[in-house]
Amino acid sequence: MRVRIAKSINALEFGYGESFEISGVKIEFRPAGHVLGSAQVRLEYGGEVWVVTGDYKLDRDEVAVPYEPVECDVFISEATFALPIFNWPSESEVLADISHWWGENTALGKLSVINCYSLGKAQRLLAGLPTLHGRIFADASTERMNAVHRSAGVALPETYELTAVHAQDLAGALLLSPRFDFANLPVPAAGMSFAAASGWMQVRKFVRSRVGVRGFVLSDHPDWQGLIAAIVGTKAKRVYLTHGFSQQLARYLREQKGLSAYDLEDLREED
Amino acid sequence: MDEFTKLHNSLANSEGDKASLELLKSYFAHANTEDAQFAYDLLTGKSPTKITTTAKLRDLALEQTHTPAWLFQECRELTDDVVEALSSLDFNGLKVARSLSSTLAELTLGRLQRLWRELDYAERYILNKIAVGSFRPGVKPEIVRKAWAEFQGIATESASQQPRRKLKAVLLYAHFAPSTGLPNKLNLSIWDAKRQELLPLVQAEPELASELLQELARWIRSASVDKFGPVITVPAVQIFEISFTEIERAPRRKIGIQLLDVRIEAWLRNELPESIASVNDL
Repeated sequence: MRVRIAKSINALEFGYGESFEISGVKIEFRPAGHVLGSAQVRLEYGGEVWVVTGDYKLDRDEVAVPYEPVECDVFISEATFALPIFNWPSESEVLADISHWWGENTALGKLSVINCYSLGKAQRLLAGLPTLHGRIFADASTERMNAVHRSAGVALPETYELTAVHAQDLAGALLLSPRFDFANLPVPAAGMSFAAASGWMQVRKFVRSRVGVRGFVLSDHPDWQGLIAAIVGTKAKRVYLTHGFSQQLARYLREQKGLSAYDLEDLREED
Repeated sequence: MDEFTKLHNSLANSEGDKASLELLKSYFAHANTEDAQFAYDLLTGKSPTKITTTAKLRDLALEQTHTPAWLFQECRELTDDVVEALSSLDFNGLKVARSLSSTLAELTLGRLQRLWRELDYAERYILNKIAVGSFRPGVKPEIVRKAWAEFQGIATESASQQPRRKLKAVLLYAHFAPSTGLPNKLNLSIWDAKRQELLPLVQAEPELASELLQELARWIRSASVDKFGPVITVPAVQIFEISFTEIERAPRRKIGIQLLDVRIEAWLRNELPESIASVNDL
């Protein structure tokens, strides 16, 4: 977080399962599986336990400590992809498809550019791509996050910064970057191919809206079934949902699963 | 179905006509004959007739996936496409490898729910688009036709390069084309020593020189022992040499085998019926 936000932030470090107290509330971080170091927050007061997920992911990858179900009385979950059309394909299939796409571009001498978050997705790709077809470059923000991962003991293949590169270095290579606009990037003669890796790529109109960009469905959030499994797994008596399709998931859980589930906004209104 | 779906997706992502042409040729070369023909028809805009409406398809999908209508409406609003939304639902199925032709052959309302369970999302999407008559080839028809023509050219060339095996068989029936008055199919038989009878082996087009074909037609008419519609039965005296590339088991046929890529090479007018092949030779 110091690398990502600022060195000067006032932060304390706690390991997963280590507890501390603020105003009599016992607080613990538990793995959320979203990215390296991501955590759910478990809060306990007067015998009642609340868990706040933040962003989380049920699929295991090579980078994050896997999501851990935590039993609680009240569960506050994100609902980014809470519609039943979101059913993720297996991670290994998608990573194989991405490798294949890169290989085809390499054969043509093209540079492959994947638009992805500099923290999380980039390292998930780096650690998980089954076949490497050439050098891997990363923009400066991604490279900083790669360094953090390596120092935390995550094995990543070698990556190169974009400084002082020539067009011939980029022919057949892969570039990971949260942006598509590269000032002064020396483009190989054969050109570039673009891709985006995100859960939103499940929806065709979002792929179509990014003309010339290949969409791969790879999400760092739970899909529909994953959300329901996570929520039911906590045995929570009350559930609050936030982000994305929170109202839809709340209604579904009330009507189909008999749970006391609400949009988090409703909790705010109660106050 | 998997290969066709991949082709369709690759065509959507392909950069330029040349890349599309190569994708298509590669598909045609690897697909079996029926699949290649179905794919060609679909991609040139000759889709099978639609079997149902989008509304009916949606009702079936909601019933099968236990999705409430209001929730589906949210999905439809996000995707802007009913068929995409319903195809994306979780059918709790197990993907089964299916050919394009067998899948389309089974495409009926009654079989739809089973097909959904046996296909993955991308395959289901294409099948459903076909089912409601809104399948989009995503490639220019002239590119498909060009790829088809080039593929056919290569196929013919490679077939003639394949070592062909030959055998002799005897004519028993001839089928006449009403338009030309000439035989367009010959049914040839070989001898089964065990059963002590002639068994039908192949039906093939007589690719003979026009003069020879006319002469054959005259002989068949003069020697006719029976006639049923356009089919004339003749005594087993005329021998033909045929070539073929492979022998396959065919348990449903009396003879128990079938030949692939059969061509009639020659009319052997001086041969005696004793020279024809026997089933044991094969």
